Amino acid sequence: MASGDTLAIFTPQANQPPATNYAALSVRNGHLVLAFDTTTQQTAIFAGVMPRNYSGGGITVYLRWMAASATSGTGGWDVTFERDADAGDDMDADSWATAQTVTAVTVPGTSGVLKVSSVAITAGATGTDSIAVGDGFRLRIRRDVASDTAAGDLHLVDVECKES
Amino acid sequence: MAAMNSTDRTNLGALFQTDASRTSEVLSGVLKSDIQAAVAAVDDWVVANATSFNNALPAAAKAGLTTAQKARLLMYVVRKRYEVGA
Repeated sequence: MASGDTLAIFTPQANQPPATNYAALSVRNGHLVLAFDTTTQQTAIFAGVMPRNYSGGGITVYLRWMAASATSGTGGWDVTFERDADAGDDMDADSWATAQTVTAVTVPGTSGVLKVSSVAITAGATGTDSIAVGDGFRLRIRRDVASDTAAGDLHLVDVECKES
Repeated sequence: MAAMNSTDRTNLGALFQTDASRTSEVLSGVLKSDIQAAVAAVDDWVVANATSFNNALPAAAKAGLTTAQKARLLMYVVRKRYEVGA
């Protein structure tokens, strides 16, 4: 039983950005962050290999972030898995599962204070993209600019994937 | 003088927020919708007061400077008066 196990941790330098509308690297008081714009939806993509302690269950994705400027309003995200299995998808094209909304939450009242938000993703084709032990996978992070309200950038600090 | 179109207003509001974010400057108590509303209000104010501004210029500048030059002069004065730390 691997419920509760951390499966992957991604930090900003591991980002494999798309060609356009990517979250830019930035440094905040020495902390490396990815900056997500408030009006243009920007993307970060992380790649990993599902570790051997994964038992095939749901995966909860935790995002640690802070507002660049805002002290009010909400910050929201969505996250999406892509399975890159042996003899599976053509890597020349994207094959994302369904985007999972990380419900927008109120930003801390002090800019620079961390906030952790998360979404529990169901195992299967639409959620985890049926990633199995030993599979390669990618995780796409986007800011939900259409529904969040915080002014200015959001700074993503790191991402943890945990078996639910 | 016509007001900016909605796309220009949106882009300007985004630029303002991006600039603030670049230096982690706090935007206290405002949502991104508030920023966009403020951009619209400022633009409307500029439209409403363009004639007043022009009339405030000394005769030589009023007659000699182009509209774009007058606008740039206004921008320089406002920026100098209110730049961060001034």
